[in-house]
Amino acid sequence: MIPTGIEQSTAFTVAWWVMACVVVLGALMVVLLPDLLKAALSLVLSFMGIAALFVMLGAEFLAVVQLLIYAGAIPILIIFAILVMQDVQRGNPSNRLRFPALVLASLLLVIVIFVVVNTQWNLIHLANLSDTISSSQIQEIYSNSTPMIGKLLLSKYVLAVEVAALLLLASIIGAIALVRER
Amino acid sequence: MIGLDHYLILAAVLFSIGLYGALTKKNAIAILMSIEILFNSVNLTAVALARHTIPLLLTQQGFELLMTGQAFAVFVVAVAAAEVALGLAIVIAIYRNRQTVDVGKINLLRR
Repeated sequence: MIPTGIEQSTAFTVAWWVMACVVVLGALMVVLLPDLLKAALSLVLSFMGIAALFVMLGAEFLAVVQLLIYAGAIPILIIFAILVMQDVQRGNPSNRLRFPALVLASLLLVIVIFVVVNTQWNLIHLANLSDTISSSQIQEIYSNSTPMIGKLLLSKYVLAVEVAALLLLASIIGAIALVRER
Repeated sequence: MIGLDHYLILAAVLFSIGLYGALTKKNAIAILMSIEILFNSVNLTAVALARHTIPLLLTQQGFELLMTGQAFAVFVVAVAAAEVALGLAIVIAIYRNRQTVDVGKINLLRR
């Protein structure tokens, strides 16, 4: 039903595993590295890997948004905040909750993996769609997703878009008001 | 072949790492970075579900409903950007007043 071919190839699988390792290693370095600045840079690495995964999922628009905002704007803000402070030399220590947090995180991971594996997902390449939508239509939608997102955002979710704009405006004003010299 | 399960389990691993970081870190900026990892794992889940599953109300509401997960991810990105801007502003304001960003030592309301 969905565009197949490239997703079935070995190169795709290899690239997926490489990118998954980059994402997980970057995230682990964020949590484990003692140097806060290096942690911020490995956060960028992890987010770039996620942008690559978005491309593999056929979400080019989101991949670009990911690169612009998560791999661009947010790390710049974080690194700037790190440079303003003098706590960087003190490193990135953990508190006393280390062991309970590890147990909680592993428990959550095991439960989520169990649920994911045991759920009957309504998978698109197994669903019987021939009476509602043709496979060429699905192929067209997935190969060119950006206009569809635009259509959805400005019709069904137009109120949420406006609220998001208001939220960004309020957060900008709030940030300026908080850090302004008095 | 890479299927939905691969993406969801990867997102679960990412979520666990971010949760561990958010719970254990002392530095407020490190906590913010861990929360960004959490946001990203949710985004990955939404996009993977949009790609591999099909909504039940597909025909009544138009075919662009297949892209709901991606539209959801766009909102998550917007909220995350607002959250980071405000969070870092608060951290800088706290640092200016108390010369520390250790969340264990910021206890003005606790005493």
